[in-house]
Amino acid sequence: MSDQASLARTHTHQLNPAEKPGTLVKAGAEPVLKATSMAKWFGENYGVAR
Amino acid sequence: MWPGETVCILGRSGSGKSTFLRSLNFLEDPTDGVVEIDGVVVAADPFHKEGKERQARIQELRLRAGMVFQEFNLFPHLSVIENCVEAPVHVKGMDRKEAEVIAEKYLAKVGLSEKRDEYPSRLSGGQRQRVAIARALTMQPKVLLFDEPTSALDPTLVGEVLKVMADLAHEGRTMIVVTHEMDFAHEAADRVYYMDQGEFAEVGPPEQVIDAPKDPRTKEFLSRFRTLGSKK
Repeated sequence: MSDQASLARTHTHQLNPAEKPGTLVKAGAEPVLKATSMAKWFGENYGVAR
Repeated sequence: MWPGETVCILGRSGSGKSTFLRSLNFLEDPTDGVVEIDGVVVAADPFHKEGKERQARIQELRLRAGMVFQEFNLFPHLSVIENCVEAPVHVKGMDRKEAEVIAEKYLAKVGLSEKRDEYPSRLSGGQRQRVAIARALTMQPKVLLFDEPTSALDPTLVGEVLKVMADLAHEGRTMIVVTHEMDFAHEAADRVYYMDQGEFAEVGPPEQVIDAPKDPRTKEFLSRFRTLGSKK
């Protein structure tokens, strides 16, 4: 299994309780976009007052 | 998010809104996480172990997620119609005539049919951004990503762009909009995410997040808008 496939399997997508289909979403529609466990590391300088 | 939804991401400058948005189509390389759009799955690859196969999937992902940038990013040497058909022809391999028909449909939608042969330098900022929206639509993406689409505009030109975006939202386009336009978010969004220091601090319908925020960070941010006399 590639690292990509492995990562995709280990990151389980969980909906926030506030995430509910909007008014124009057709009944039974599946999500079109999922972003799971997204993180971006900028290094030690990010968010630290200098 | 579900097809047909409009989601707005709010937050102060530097909170990570644009980084998050750009990570969705890998214009930013996330350190961790997985993005799935219309069945195409791409995971972070912080150590650059993956090769061409992942790059091909990123290309597939980008075909499904059209992007509208703050600074328009139109090709200055191409006319409006040429700007719109460039990617469909060269990236999707679409026939030029077919691409022009689709582009003309979307130029009409954004109210710029008569500008099809003009060059970007002869357009106002608002018109350029509407061309950028038509260009993104011509690719027929599943999701439209807007990165502060009105922030670079003269205040008098913001309304024409927001109206086009609101129309798209109301006709059921799937859109994620990073914005500081509270009235737009309130009127057009199904759901609002407030971002602070790289995290989603609060999520919910605009009536909750904008009108009655629970998180102290959201409250503090929105209180500045109220102080400045904004409607909400």
